[in-house]
Amino acid sequence: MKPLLSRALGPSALVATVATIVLGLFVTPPDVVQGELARLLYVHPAVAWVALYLSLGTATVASALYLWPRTRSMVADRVAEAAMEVSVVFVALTLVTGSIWGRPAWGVWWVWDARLTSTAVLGILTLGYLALRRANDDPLVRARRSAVLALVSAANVPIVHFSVLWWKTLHQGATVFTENRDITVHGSMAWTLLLSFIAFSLDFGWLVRARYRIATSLSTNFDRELDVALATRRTEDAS
Amino acid sequence: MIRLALFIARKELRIEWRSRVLVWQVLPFSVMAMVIAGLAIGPDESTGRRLAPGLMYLIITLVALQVIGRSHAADDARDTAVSVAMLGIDGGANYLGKVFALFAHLVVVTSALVTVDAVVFHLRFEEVLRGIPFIALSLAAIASAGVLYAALTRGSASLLPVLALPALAPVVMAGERTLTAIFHGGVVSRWVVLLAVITAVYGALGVLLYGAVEES
Amino acid sequence: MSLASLHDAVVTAQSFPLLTGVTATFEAGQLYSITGPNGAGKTSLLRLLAGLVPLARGSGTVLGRDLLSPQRREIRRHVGWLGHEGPFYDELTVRENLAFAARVSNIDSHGIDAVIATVGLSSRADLRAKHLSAGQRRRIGMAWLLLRRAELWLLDEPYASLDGSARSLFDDIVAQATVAGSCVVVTSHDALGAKVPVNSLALRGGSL
Repeated sequence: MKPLLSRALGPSALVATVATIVLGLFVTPPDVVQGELARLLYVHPAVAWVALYLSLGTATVASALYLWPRTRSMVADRVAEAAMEVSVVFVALTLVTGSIWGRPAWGVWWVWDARLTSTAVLGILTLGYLALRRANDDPLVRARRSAVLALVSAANVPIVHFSVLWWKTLHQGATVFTENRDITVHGSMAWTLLLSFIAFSLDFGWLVRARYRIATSLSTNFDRELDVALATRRTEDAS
Repeated sequence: MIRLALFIARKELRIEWRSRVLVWQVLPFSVMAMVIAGLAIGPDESTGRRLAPGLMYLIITLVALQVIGRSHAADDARDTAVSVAMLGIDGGANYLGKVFALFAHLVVVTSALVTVDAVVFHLRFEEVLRGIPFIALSLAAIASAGVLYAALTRGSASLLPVLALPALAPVVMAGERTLTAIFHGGVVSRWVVLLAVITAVYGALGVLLYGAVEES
Repeated sequence: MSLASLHDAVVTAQSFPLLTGVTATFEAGQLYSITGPNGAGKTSLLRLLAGLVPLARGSGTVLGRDLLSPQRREIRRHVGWLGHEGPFYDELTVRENLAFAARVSNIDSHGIDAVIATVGLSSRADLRAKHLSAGQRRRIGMAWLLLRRAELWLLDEPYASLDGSARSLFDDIVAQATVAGSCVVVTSHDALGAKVPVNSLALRGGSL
């Protein structure tokens, strides 16, 4: 069962993604108000979902599992690292697609929109996580410190969200979905939107698994290197 | 735990007082940063008054990074790291002790900053006085977050701002909004709640997790 | 009674093996001297026994705590450690340093003046540690060992920067601890002037 599911992940991610592209670009109609630009509906919300909920959620749970002594294992550490790396990519995509979508309405590439701003702050937090991982050589130190940072960053998500929201609402309540720019979603559009969520979630799963495998093979390499180093050092002493 | 934390805080304050780094290095820097900010925005008085809260919080944050960076300086000294690690100090108490000490250091530095800010940007005395409880609350938030980030980035000082700045962004927003509201009118209650929540969340995480960070 | 035992213990720095497989048992009431050239792994062995570094391979227990489990971090609280470093904080006085260490370790601080006198620092008790010589700083470490009274003592190059009288004082302290039932593990280049029988363990290339 498990290998079958595992083997099906890649192909199903590919099929779902291709189907989303075809439906999103060619089958669904353009929006009455936004025209062709509305096709970002099949990319941006799903990418943001993966970036802000799925990947950060995965990384947080894995980090908590690592810190809890009973469930501590390097598997949890590798999953957290993989999910956080994928998160950085998806946060960047969220910002870029949000910016492209907002540009015609705003007239500029960047505004201090509440969601845009808080996403950017979260993006820097996730970059900080990756930076911290690279600053520590010892695998145990790295695992423990980065797990703590992941939990702290997770606690920051609502704090950043509300602070930016309140900071902004003193001026205007704008987000990507303002009232006059609301898209009426129905029929093929609704199905394609749903499919896009499934497709990007599967892509996320596939990427995390690929990254996890790289981490595992690096650690296997490490074991092999240690075998060689042990043998070398023992023969040096014998001579 | 609190008594042990206070004992540790006293140790930290004593070491800092004897080394005089805060007085002779951080304090002059913070005052000069405020003056430089005044020079950078030009001589127009109304601009200065409008920007004073934001500038002050910007500089508080930058100076706080320096003070936060020092919160583990004594522990990282050549001989100290291993011998103190061998004591196996209770993580929660050690965290709180360092937070208390960092808070005290921040209060000293910020007092000078606020005074200079008020003088060079012509703020009214009673306005500044009303702002003090809010500034103190934001310093508590900075201290409770700062010790945790300093511990996480021990051994790689240039990483501290990368991790701490995005996390301190809500404190800057809350602080600037509160002071602006006091000076020019507006709502402060939700920002007070936010600052209290930040202090409490970091405080709880710090007491729980500081030991795990230090262990490494 | 065995206080610590190691089986085929491997300790690494990156992928370099500092210890290549150490098997040893350390008994209560015994003095162990670990000798070997530079880089043989003497300090790594002490750090492993103190629970400061993890095991990469093999197994071991120290003071009833498994080196492979999260309990490893508790070990440091129960051993007496004398490293190359002397005192805890340079800006604190001799007395303040000992009071600090005692307070955070939950150890009665009444004996502080007595141990300061024993190690010959009475006249300097209120001097900041940074104003002391290297040998005097190590005496603070010795005072802490006396106050600590641990079951397991781990001493890294204890003779370094000690003069003749300090060495003799040190030998007395170690002898008393051993007789009182502690297990003392010492790394040293020099032969110990021990006043009790010594179990010598020669470390070469990371193994015994």
